[in-house]
Amino acid sequence: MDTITEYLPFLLPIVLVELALGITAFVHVQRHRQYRFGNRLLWSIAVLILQIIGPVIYFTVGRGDR
Amino acid sequence: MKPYTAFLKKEFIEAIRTYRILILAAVFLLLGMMSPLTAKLLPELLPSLMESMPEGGVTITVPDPTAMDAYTQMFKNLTQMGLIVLLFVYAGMLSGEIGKGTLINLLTKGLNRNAVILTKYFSSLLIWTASAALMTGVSIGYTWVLFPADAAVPHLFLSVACVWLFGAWLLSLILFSSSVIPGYIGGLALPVLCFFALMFLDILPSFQPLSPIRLVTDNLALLKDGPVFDTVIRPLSSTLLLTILNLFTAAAIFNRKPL
Repeated sequence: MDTITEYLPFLLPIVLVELALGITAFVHVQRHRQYRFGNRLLWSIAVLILQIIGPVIYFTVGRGDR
Repeated sequence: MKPYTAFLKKEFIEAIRTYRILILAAVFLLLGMMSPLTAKLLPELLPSLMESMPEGGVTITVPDPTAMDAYTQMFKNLTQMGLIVLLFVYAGMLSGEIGKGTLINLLTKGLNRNAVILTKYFSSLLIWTASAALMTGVSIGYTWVLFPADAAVPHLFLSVACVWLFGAWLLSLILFSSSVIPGYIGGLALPVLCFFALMFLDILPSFQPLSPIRLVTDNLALLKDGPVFDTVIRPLSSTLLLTILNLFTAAAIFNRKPL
């Protein structure tokens, strides 16, 4: 536990960027109903649970074309 | 020059709208921060993992991490996750527009097809350069604070430049690949195929020193031993040559391709 508080200033930016990426992807999933594959539930879970990899896969291959 | 700058501007707007810039910036920023921190925290996390094991478990003594460990993590992340994300983000850069038919309008209005290939390459290269620089910069910053004793590592920029050139080659290969094979998979096909072919060819001693693979496998040796002229200049020049060749071939094929 001590280690975590000691390195909090270094960990916090990482958590924040990961969160920002996850939330951006989550909002995009909710606002666009078409996906190249999968459905809304799958992508909602994927972008929030799979840190970094989830949003990257969603934006590169999962996101449908307008 | 006008069509080039106009199309380049369009490419950057596209990069923002397709979230390419967001993904690359976020991923490379994260990798940049995580690498030195992983190196620093790993020895502290290992004992607590050991404690959670049933008694009689192995005891391992871990030496104190150094700045070199931080850069070991950085090059591992940059050459694996970093390049994979770059490939996935840019695999659809040409095929996406061919598929949607958005290029036809521009081409019938007189946009040169060479300009399409060149500006697409140039814009992706600029964004890749910025991403690699962001990651290296953040890593250096974190290492500086976490490992103040020995933060300065020689030949770091040369080593990063090697990975950068490998990424530049990868991007040119995506364009070549998408001009031959249609679809998003088309952009992935040749880069993945080439990568495995190069890994396989790496067994041949005569081919080894020339292989682009050297640029992403020898980074740590480069940091430790310093640049030996031969071992650096050969893969650098061969990869540069291959990149130019890829772009010429991509443009030549794309010029004859019916859309």
